[in-house]
Amino acid sequence: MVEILACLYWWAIATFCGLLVWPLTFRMLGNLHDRGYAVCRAVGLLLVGYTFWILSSLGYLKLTSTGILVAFGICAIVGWRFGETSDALIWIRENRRYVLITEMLFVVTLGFWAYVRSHNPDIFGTEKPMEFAFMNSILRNGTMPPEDPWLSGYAISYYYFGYVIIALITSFSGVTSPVGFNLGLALVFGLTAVGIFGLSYNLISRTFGNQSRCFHKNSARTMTSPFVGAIVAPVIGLFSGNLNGLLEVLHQRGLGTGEFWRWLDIKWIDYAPSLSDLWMPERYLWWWQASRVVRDRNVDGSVMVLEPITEFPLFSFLLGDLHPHLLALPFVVLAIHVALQLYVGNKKGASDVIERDAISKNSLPTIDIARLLFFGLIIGGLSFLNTWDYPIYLFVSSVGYLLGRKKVGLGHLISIGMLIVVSILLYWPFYIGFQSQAAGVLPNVFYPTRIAQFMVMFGVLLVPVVGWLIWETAKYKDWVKWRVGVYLGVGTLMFLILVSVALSMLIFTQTELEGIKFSVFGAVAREAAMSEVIKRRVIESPWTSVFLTAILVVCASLAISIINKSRVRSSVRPFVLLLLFTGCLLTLVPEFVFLRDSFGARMNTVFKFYYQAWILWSIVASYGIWRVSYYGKLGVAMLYGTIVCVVLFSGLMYSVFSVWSKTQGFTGATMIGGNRVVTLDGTAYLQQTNKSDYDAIRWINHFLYEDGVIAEAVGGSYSEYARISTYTGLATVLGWPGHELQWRGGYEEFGDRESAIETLYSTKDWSIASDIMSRYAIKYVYLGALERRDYPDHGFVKFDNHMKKIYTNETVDIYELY
Amino acid sequence: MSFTNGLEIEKDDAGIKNALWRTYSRDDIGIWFDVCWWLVFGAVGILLRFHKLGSLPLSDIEVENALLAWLIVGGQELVDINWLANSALVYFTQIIIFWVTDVANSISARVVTALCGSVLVFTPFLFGRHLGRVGACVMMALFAVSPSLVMISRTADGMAISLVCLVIALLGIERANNLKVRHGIGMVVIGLVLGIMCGRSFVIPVLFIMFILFRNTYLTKQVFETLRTSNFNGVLAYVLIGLLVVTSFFRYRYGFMVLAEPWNHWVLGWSSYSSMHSELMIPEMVFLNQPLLILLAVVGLFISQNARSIERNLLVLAICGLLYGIVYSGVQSRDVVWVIIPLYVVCARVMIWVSQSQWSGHELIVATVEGIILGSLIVFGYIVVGGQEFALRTADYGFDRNTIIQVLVLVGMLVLVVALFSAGWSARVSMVSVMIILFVFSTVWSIHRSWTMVEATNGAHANNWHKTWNTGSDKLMLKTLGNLSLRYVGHPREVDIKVMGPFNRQLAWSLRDFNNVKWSENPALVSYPSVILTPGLSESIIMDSRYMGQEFQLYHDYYAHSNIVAKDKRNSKSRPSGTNFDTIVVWTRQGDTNP
Repeated sequence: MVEILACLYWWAIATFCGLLVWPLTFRMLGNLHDRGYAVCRAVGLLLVGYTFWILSSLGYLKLTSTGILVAFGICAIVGWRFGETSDALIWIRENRRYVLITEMLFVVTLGFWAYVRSHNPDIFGTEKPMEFAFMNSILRNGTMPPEDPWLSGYAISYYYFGYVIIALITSFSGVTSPVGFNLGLALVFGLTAVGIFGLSYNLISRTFGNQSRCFHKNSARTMTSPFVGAIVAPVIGLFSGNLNGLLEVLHQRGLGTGEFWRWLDIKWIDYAPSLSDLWMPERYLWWWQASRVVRDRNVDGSVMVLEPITEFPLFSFLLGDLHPHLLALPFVVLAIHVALQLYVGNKKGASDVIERDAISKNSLPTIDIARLLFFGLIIGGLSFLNTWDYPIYLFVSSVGYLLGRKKVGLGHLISIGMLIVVSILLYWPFYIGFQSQAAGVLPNVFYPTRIAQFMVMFGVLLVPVVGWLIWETAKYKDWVKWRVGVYLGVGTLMFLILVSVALSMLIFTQTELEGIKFSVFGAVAREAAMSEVIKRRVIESPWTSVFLTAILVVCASLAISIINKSRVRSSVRPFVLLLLFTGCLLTLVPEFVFLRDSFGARMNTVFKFYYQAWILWSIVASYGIWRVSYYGKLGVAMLYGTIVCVVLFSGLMYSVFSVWSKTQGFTGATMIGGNRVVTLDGTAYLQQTNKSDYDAIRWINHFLYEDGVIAEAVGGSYSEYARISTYTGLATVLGWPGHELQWRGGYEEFGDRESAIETLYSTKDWSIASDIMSRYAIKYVYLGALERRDYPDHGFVKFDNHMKKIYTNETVDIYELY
Repeated sequence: MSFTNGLEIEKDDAGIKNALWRTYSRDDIGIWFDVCWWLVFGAVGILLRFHKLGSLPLSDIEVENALLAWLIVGGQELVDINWLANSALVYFTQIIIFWVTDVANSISARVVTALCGSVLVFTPFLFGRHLGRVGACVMMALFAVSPSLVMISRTADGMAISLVCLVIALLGIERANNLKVRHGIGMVVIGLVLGIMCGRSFVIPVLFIMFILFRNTYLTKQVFETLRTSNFNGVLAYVLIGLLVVTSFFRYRYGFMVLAEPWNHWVLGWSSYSSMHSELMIPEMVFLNQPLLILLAVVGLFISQNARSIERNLLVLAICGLLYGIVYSGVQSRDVVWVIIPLYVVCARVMIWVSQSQWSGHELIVATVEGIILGSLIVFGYIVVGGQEFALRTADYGFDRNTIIQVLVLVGMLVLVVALFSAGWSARVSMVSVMIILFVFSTVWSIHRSWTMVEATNGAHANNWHKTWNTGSDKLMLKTLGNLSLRYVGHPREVDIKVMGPFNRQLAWSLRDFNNVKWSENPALVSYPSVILTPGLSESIIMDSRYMGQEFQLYHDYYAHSNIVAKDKRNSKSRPSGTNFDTIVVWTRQGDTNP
């Protein structure tokens, strides 16, 4: 009951934030059909989060209910002052149906995912400890920038804005942080679903006109009203999985030859299956493999250790990592709304969104400061939420803005420039302290993606998208301008090839890049590299690049052709094609280059780019489905619809089976005392697995008000090490070294901390231990089962002799320094 | 002979309205009467507010603001402040006073509040249009001697300033309603902005003003229209000034949070967990301090031929205030004003009706006789039942049957006297006499209560307002510390003092003049300061044998909330569950002449 109430609080707070800024959103996204109603919650949370963050960074606010109230108050004043309150309220009254559907969708998706999450709430494994540590650090510190819980004395060097927003709601709602963590997942799920629905609705409605209902002579077409069309978008984008689910089921059933499965070459299902009556895959963590469908093989045929990550939204929610790419989802959709608004432009058809009416051609356009700040806040916020998203949606917004103009002039370019400047300046305090792990671009020489695996990943989206493209091309073939498209599409491909070649040559010729050469080329000699490249890229696996280039060509051709036709501003197809184009770019780029990071492989680049491509293509797919269904001939629409349904059904197989599997058939995956427990408390499992630590952590959270560095055992990543700092938010000397290496780009900050902690626990000499404690400002020492296992007993006596024991239970002692 | 000789009483039956719109002439004796009235009661009010202003120590709420103001004036870093002040306007004015006068003590901390309280006494004059001469005089007298308003004026928690701001806002509403729209709206905005900076005490006024605006749609539209057409420029100026005030020119950055804290505090106050007071505190204060006034208001309304809806609305407001005081868990003693101010207005309007009465000489004599009898009965009743003690015993549910019977008999006799005079002569004359007597005695009683609270340095009669009072030992302790300082370092305020225990604001305020005070919860002595202060009953602190201690029973009563469950308490080691500073031990090194 308490947790249901907690869920209600979160719904109320999110809705309240949305209502606070609704007048502002109504004005700023005024050219969208729904005036941004679907994303007003995201706007509200962003504004409140930003207001709190910037004022806290300046020292004016702390993370308490009072501080959050101040942020609410400021946002309310801004929303009221710069918005159109009375018109916004009238709009709600006039569009009750849309409002009701949106609200119901949000409640259902929020509630549903909270329900799912309550059956597998454990905050353990993968990146959850890191995320939970950030959240607890923000909650405990209360000021910005928050301290890095895994490197005492330093601020977090990561994009932590999403955690600030979740921590704000957690603090204001009064729930504990483990419950807040899981409710955060549910909230993001709900916000994303509603945002995608709203975006699709806007696109469809704009194509459809101002009518909110569609009546067609053929009764089947009544199903294609904007609402129905729009609801497909969250189903595809959020609820659906990739085709790996279908493959797992087929493999489980024993269907398909060994040759086929070996040819497909997806891990764990790359062998001949045995016949079975079961539908549900039985393999432990079978659903994980959907995020690893692309398999890179080295030149010698061995599998690359660092597999490219092919995550998609449902997988992320299922896994339950509150990672930045997931936290940013609602705001990514919001950014696409902004891009659409920029594309559509001013209602009166005069000048553009950022500029007010220019008096004459010779005058500099005046700037609508409010709009500039609003859009800059949203676009720029992506860099603070998930830095990889910022350039992508800056590109979409900028190109969308230019696409929507009849004539592109200097003023428009200045507008884009100002948008970029504002979006960076608004988040300047973040940039100051941020150390990026990216360090340049490297060529992807030997690892093209096989078309089969690419289609397993994106087939659910690409089938409807390609079908729509074919239909669109066939319908308008007479006036499609292919030349421009070919130049753009093929030119893009050539450009990427050239960049890759140039980088390769640079690596081979520059001796100071010797260290990189091995990671890119392996043991392949320069002379053999070319033949290997031709073999892999031209003979064995050219089809992904070819396929994507073909889509680029068609996309660009169609878009330019539509733009050149009259009444361009009433058509959103160029914008949708832009989304498709961007998705293709995002999937084509990793075929040739990738961002250099601590992994030295394209794993992360594929992850980040494929993820955004999924979002973009899901919107395109839903639009395409509606468009063919509504405008296509009945036969074509039926055929197309059937194929799409089959594909979608295949994708949803993953959803159903994976959720069932993860939640243990909705009986609860968490065991306490032999009973399955359904709870949102992500630390409840500790009562079963480590009761002593659980009690100690609870005591620290309740009674250790004073901040201070706590020493605990140091170990590897993705383990139980750093558990105390993770679950309490107290900073520790060193958490997961691997993660710190990624964030800091080197060992300089934390080089000898691990050995210092080992010495602290092991030495019998108090003066040595005292020196270490002074050096790292350690106030508390945690002595639990892990420390007793890793360090020798003889070193513990000194703590009893020289420190004050403030807590003890069966296996845990906590000491405080005098 | 007419009672009206010398007084300007309209002889028509037009009712209150004519009395309200009467203008003055220089020859009126009434003017002199009014002037004397205002002077006398004004002086009484001011005296009650300023006399022994610093006798009671600063309460916890007052210290939050005063200590912050002192730290800012002293130029100290505010990084380690872990508490939030509760009233931006209070600490801002305290900063100015401390800085200008170079004196930081209980008196200077409260002087602005007392000034505002004094100004409040004269505010009924501003509502003369609605109250008339008589009503304004009556209200002014009630304001001047009201025990609750006196204590509010002597407590620097922002309430007195809030009431002044409320007056400004209400005046603005009144002006705006009378077609001076812009002028009025400006006053409303000023009142609201200043009031919001007063903190928790202005939450109810804001809700009240919002309620008025909600009911008065014309005015609300005018407000929004004015703000919109002015393009918010004026509001911007107010906001900027407000920012400078709440952050004290950006020295106290958490001043932003101080603006929002009242609302958070008020909402949390509805939670029963936060309840710190008895549900009957407000009724007790109202009935203890204003019993006759309540009777005056209720009876007067009942019998007044000119009772209008406005009086009934005011009575409803008073009842709402009473209910709020009972229901709201976080109620403070200052919330009694939401009951008594509507009552005062009702009483003022009842007395207007009384003053309109026309008397013949015979009626005057009858009324006087009746008044004497009633007065005697009341005095007799006070003597018999022991006055305040009876009320306290009753409030503690310590019913004394004999006393109850005596009270009932007295009440019966009072009713009998009124009935006899009503039947024998005139009901009107009888009731008017009752009203006058009630007013006179309630005023006298209020003066008595106020003076008692002001005079009592041990806070015995002000225990609803202050939870701490002087034992005298605090001054003794400070003197001892001063002497120690002279002995050790040759300066009365420079000795090293270590306080063992969590930071305590009241103690910090007491020790504010000492420049080398350090706080530490660490019981172990890493260094050996000259003087150590420890909470007297701490179990976890065992002093070094080189130190010798002297205990002082202070006025302080501080405790830390702790909701330790049994198991956690068992596992907790060396962590005190709370620290009690009402007894302090001062430790000094034995045999040291030079540290």
